[in-house]
Amino acid sequence: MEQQIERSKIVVRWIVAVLLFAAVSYLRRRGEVDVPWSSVVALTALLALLNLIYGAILRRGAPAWLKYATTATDLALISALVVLTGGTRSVFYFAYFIVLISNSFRYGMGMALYVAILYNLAYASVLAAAPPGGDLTVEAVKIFAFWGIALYAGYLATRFQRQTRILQSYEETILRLRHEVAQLKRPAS
Amino acid sequence: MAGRRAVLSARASLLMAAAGVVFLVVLLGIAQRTTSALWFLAFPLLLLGVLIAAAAAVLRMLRHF
Repeated sequence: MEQQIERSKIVVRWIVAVLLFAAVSYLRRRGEVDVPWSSVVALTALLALLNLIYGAILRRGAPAWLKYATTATDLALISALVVLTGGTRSVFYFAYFIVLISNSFRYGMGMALYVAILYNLAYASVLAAAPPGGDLTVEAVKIFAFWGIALYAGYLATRFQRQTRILQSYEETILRLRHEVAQLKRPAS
Repeated sequence: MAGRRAVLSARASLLMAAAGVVFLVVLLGIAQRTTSALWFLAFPLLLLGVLIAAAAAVLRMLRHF
């Protein structure tokens, strides 16, 4: 199950990488972001390399630590992109939410909390690396909002997982009953 | 319920609730006053503290323990 989820995350990561690369290139050409090509290419190459490594690991199975490692590297790469494209004013801030939703819906409340903690640490580092200056209340509110969304996403994922389990048990019961009815219908020899 | 040992005593839950309030005040204080982003590194600890204290207080109020 986890192997399948991580494989699908690899596909999503390729798609997001292409979209983000195209968006950065477009904004750079228009002069909206001031980021050197070398940084853009290095970041994209690093993401591609990590994705290939994860793909190679997944060929042999999914170790328990992999989901935490992939999430952490995703958040680190997004933080680097945010720092390079304007820090607090970066248009790529929304990318944090892709990681949050993608992971918490797949893995539940525990992962939602893990993503929120890592985001909090990563975004505080972003703010320390590219300080906006003056009052930081707006940034604190952004962090609180992320926590709120993470907890809500985790709650929804937990509910969804519970309903899936109930549905699974119903399906098993229906199968068992069908089998029993079929046995009863069989003429006694 | 008779014969059931309390998981969280009234005193412990009161202390937890008080700690939760303190965490919340510190959290809001940092959010409003800080000019250094490094203070935000304490948010996960404080937020989780508030959430755990709030959960314990609500469960106590609902007589869950």
